[in-house]
Amino acid sequence: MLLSNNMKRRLSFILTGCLLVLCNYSQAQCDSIADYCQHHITSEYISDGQTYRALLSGDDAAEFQTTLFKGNTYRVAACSGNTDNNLIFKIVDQDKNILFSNADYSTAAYWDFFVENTMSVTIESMLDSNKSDSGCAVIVIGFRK
Amino acid sequence: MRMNYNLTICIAGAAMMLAVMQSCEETTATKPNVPGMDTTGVSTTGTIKFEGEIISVPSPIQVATLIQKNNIPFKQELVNSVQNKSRYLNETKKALNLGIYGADLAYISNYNLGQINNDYFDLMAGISADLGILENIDKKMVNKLNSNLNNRDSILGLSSEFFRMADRYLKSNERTHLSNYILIGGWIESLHLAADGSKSNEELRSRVGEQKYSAESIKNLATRLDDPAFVVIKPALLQLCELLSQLESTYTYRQPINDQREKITYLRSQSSVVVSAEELNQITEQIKTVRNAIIE
Repeated sequence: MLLSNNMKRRLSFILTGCLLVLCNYSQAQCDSIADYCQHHITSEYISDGQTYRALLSGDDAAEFQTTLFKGNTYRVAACSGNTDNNLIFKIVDQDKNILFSNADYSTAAYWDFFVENTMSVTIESMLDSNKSDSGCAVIVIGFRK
Repeated sequence: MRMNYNLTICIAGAAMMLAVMQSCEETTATKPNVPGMDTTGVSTTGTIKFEGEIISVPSPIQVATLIQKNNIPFKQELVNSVQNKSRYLNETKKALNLGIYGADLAYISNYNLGQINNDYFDLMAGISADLGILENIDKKMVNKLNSNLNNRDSILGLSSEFFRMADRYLKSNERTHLSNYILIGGWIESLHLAADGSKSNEELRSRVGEQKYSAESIKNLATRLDDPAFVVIKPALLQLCELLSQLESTYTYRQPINDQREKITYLRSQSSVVVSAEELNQITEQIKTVRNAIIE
């Protein structure tokens, strides 16, 4: 199909606008979920100062490596949407042993971890396919004061 | 009719863009090979990423807390001087030093130093305003922090919230690079504070060595940042990561214990990082080199 220059310009303008709207919508959705999730980091905990988030669909998984330091109790909260129990998360050690999965505990929105020795772990998250096909996954971490 | 036409283009465009966004976010599969899990075809996506990687950097507050727990006396010369702020003219240096000053505030808060807390908070607020962060985060939280500068717990809790909000704002507005410079600055300053105490304190010495686990993340972060003001710092930072990565470590898995009623898991695996006196000296010197390059 041949398009006039004027038509091309207009198409390009509209597509760019659509992209911006979509980007803003995704970011706003993630921001809203991050704020919701932060409520699980209650006043006994100090946030690690970061939010970890990813747009997921289907059986996509997002992961990141983090260090848990000896003698600390950490709280990990996982959210996708503005209700609890939507995001599966796992803690995996450097030898790929699964140390914890909230799938074993009704997809608990948060869980605490007492760390006997400093360790490097991977936190992996994925949507609960029974509840959602796509969305923004957010993990927040705090440590006990 | 024309509206319908535009709407159709928009919907078609949106579908195309969604596909493009999805494909842009596709990254190499890095999912661990967990026994019993099918990892075939799994992709990692993320809104916050460097080529798909979400980076976690240890909070400087954890080192400040460790210093307090070990009753290490305050040393004024350890923190970055308030007067240095005027040296930081570009965004990269401002962001790196915002991280530095944030870690310093956490350290200073251990010692009930009154006005000095205010000075460092003012610095953080000033640099955040320069970077366009301050006006975009919750004013109530900033005011609360400002009025609780004599309470250590409040400083730690609220300053971590301050940095979380800054991180959220920057990452939501395609300024992730600045967020990462802040994280790097905070990490270097916390290492600097820990390294100083590590000569006489075994726990702090271990903490320096344990940064081996974070070195890979920092390296990944640094290799992808290429602002001219950072390029001069990067080689020294990568060298520091290399020194940390070379430390010898051990890890032995032990079955965790889960307490479902209390919603807590006890992670019991054994681990250690061995740091010889020579290695500690080398690492300490390299931390100084990196830090000097950031604060000068």
